Amino acid sequence: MTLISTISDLLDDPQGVIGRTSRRELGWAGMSGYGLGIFSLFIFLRLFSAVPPGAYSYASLLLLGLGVNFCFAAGIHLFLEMTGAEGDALKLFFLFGLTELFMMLLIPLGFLARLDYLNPVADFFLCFAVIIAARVSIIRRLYSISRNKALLSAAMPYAAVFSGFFMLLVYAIVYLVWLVV
Amino acid sequence: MEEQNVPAAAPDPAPVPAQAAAQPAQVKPSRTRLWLKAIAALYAVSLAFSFTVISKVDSAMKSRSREMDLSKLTGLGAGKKDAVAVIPVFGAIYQTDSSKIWERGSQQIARRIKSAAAKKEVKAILLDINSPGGSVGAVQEIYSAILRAKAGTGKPFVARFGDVSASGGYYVASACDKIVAEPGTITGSIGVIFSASSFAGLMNKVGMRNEVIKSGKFKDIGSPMRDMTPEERKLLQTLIDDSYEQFVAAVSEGRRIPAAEVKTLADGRIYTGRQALKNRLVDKLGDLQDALDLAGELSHIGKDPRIYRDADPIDQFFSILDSRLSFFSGASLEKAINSSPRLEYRWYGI
Repeated sequence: MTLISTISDLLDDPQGVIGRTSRRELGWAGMSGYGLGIFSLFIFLRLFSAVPPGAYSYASLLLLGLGVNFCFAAGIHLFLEMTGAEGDALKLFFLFGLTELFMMLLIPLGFLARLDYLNPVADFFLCFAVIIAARVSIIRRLYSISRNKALLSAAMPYAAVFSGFFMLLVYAIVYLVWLVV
Repeated sequence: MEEQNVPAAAPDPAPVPAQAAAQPAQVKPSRTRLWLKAIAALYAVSLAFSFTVISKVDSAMKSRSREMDLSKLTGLGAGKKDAVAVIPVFGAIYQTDSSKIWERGSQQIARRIKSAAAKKEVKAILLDINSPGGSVGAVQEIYSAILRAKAGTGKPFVARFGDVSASGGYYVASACDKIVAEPGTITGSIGVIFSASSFAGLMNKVGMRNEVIKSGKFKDIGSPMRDMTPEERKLLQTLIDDSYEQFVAAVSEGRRIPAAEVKTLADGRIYTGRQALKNRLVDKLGDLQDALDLAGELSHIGKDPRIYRDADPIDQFFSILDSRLSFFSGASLEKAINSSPRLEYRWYGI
């Protein structure tokens, strides 16, 4: 089963594919999705010289993406299991990999941003929004839950990360002021 | 009629739904796959284009990085190319609490002079002065830091005057090898001032009295609670005269003008840059770029040298906070400190 056929089946019959496809098949497709999606992000960032060139640079970005998505999938699965919904954490992780394919949009958008027709940050957030929407759709089908609950569970890890980051930032500034004064 | 014909037209209903179900199942995926293949092809093309763009961006970045002056951005001076350090001396010069690094006092300026002079890549130091002067001690601290740096490293110092560089601002500049001023710069005001307010009349009027117990008759000299006595005035005049002699000696030594001649210029008057040039108080008329070129020539690194700015990011951060938000009430603190009487090399025209 090729990546294209898996995506095609998923687009045509998402509920059926999520239910009947084995972890192995989804795993291959999901990891390819991570690889291609993060490669697109890498190329987008390279267009603006935001990351250094080379395989190590891409590998570190890929590892970061895999790590973050693994944690997010685990957190979402834990939250949903605790609230009574049943699903498959590994499938969720692999399906998240397929949603990463939306990062491919970043390359044509990146060209437009290079030509000053679009803002690169806006491009990134546009893709981010599309990925979140796709993830909500996947979580809803995989765990047989309502759209709102899926949205809540998908947004929860991002909210946690952002709030943690801002807390750290505030503490860092307070510490810096205390250190100097 | 039609309702009756429908069952009749379908004698064998079983295969029809099967065919109807099979047809979309075969067509739909192939269409989707076709679209996906088209998208994949477009993606491959855009990837090829993106590699071209990236290679061009990289080559442009490489060629720019050779010329780019990183010290302008970070102040850390990533390159080791020879440079001229630019140290701003802006505003009134006073000593401030040295523990607060965001307050730009004389200690900080002296520290920056020492630090810049010690840098290998710094071949000359340009003091960008825009100051009406300040307290005697603070001005002399910067002056001695310049002399020490010159004696220790032999690097040339150039002073550049902006709007105003009078009194203490000129005192500092006199330690430099060359002085560049704008034609309309206000400079001069060579002299010393001591001012003390007296609230004695006001206190008498409101019936308030200040009791002072002192070890000597001059212990509360300059007190605003009473009028100054002739003896105190005489004593203060000797202080003023001595500080004035120090100023004249510094100008005479720095500008290589006889002290007697300096005294004729040093009656406290101010000069424009052009008048100062005529009186040999400055060496050249020009702007910051002219001063930089002169510093480059003196240090044998040529005109239009690279600029080294010793900007501490933490210092900048707190300076911005202080200036934009008055976060640490730096201005009010400075006003409170400056309200007490003191000897000053300062011009009060601004």
